[in-house]
Amino acid sequence: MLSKIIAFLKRDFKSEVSYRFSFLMNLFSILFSIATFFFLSKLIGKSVGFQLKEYGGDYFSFVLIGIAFSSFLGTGLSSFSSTISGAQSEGTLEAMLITPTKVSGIIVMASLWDFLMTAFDVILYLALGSLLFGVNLSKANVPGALLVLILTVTAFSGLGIISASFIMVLKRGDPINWLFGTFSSFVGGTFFPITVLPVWLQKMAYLFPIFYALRAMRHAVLQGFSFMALLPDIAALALFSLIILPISMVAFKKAIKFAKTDGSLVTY
Amino acid sequence: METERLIKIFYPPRGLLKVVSKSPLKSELTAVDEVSLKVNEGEVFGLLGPNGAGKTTLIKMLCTLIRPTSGRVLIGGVDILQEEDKAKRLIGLATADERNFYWRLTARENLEFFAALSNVPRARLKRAVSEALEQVGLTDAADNMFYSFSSGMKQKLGIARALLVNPRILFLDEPTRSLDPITALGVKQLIRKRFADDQGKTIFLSTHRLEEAEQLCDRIAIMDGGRVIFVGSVGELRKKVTQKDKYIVETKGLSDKWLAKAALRESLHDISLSNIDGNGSWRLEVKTREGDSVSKLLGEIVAGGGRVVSCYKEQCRLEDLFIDLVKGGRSN
Repeated sequence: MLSKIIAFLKRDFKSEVSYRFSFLMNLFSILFSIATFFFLSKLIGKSVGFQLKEYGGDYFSFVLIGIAFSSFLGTGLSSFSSTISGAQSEGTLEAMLITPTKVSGIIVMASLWDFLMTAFDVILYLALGSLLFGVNLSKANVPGALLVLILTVTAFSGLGIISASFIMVLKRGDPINWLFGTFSSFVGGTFFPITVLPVWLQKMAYLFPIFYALRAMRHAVLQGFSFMALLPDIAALALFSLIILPISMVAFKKAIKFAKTDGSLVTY
Repeated sequence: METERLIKIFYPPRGLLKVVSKSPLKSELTAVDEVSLKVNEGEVFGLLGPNGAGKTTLIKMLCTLIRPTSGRVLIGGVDILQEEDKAKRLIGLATADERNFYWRLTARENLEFFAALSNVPRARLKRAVSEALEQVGLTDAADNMFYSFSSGMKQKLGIARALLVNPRILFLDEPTRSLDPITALGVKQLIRKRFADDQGKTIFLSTHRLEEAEQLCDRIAIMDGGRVIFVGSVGELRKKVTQKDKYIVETKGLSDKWLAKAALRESLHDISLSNIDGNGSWRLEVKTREGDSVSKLLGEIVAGGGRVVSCYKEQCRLEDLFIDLVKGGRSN
């Protein structure tokens, strides 16, 4: 297993370093994205402080954690399906499927690089936000934040695998990615606290793991909440993982069986 | 390797899938219809057939990429439906698709990646890769990027990948497609001499080229409409289909009256008539079991005032045999 993981990471690393300019562009994108929200928060000023009281009152810190960690959620949600569709269009999926490595193993291992890169992006967001724009991370409960992150990635990976199952069957356009990617980042509080939403939309936020993930992450990173204080959100994320992961496994097995029967395993 | 009454039926999408996905299928399609084949250990077996005959579907089923509707496939005694992972360790597949490598990795890096996925132990991974590259003659290009490879090199690298697990049966899907004659000859020599004769590997290859099948294969199967319509050696195919010899007679100076009579015979017998140059030169193709009837025809030409410029017997081309067989199968 380890040699396969290394093989995938080596493959993606070699491929990535052959596109050096793209790495540089990513760095600048993150920098400009942070700068945009920094000056936006200056415009908004302290006027939204009462809405953000539980997160420390500073909009820039609030949104920095939102955009940094929602990129992680986005990776969990989309990397599995993009791995499949990418390998289908590259023509390498068939060559991988002829090996004794299981399809589920292939898509998980092929997504590792995306997770590593996203982790690197998150570190960049936090480092640039802290060093250049003065976000205070001194109170951060790092182990708590890591636990939240692991549970969040698990829950979102489950959703990502369901999304990959749709891609396996439909090839393009899966409803899971839309629902949990676009809609949940709107109601989940990536860019603003959900208290600004109408009450009925606020209630919908409770149905999506992103809400618990971002709330817990902000509490852990900005306010340094203890494990006990984070426990309700951690429990919610664990529950989401427990429900979503088995469903995703069944969905993926059925999708593979369908594609093998349909003869469309490697078509896109 | 053995298949027993292997069937693959593709169904058009039903229910919600019909609404959300687009399929070229309007009704069910039997792509492979009760195919039972036995390929012997160490044999080079060719699969031929016109486009849409079901060759690719059959190969993909044998390589576990498509699930059969019914039937059984045994590879080295392993049922591929019951023990898919075990079966995959016994097979190697090389297709003519040039895209199925990572373009920004070298040949060696590509093979190392696929070797790891194929469970080649780390301790012998590098050696296995070097050996595979050496077998196909790509050692010197091993550290070149895949995108710099020619079509022939890509094809050879595909074969090298299939060799990484030292497979018992090597599936080659159109191994010389889009290759120039010299490169194709190199690949064919590799398959026949090195893999089949020297290493005794079982090889199952599909091809459109009948001459290639004749050069490479011990036996062939011909598919049409999902069914296998012939299994045997190329020699047996010739015997089965060539029941008549073909004679070519070139003449000059035949009268219109004679030609009108011949045209009538053309519609009744196996004679075809074509004008060669518009200056009274005619070519007659006669298919007959009896050489005597050709002598009789030559006599008639001379008696009719014509002159025989040449007359020779032509061996039936493999393509003609193939067409005859497929047409015969369809008319039945």
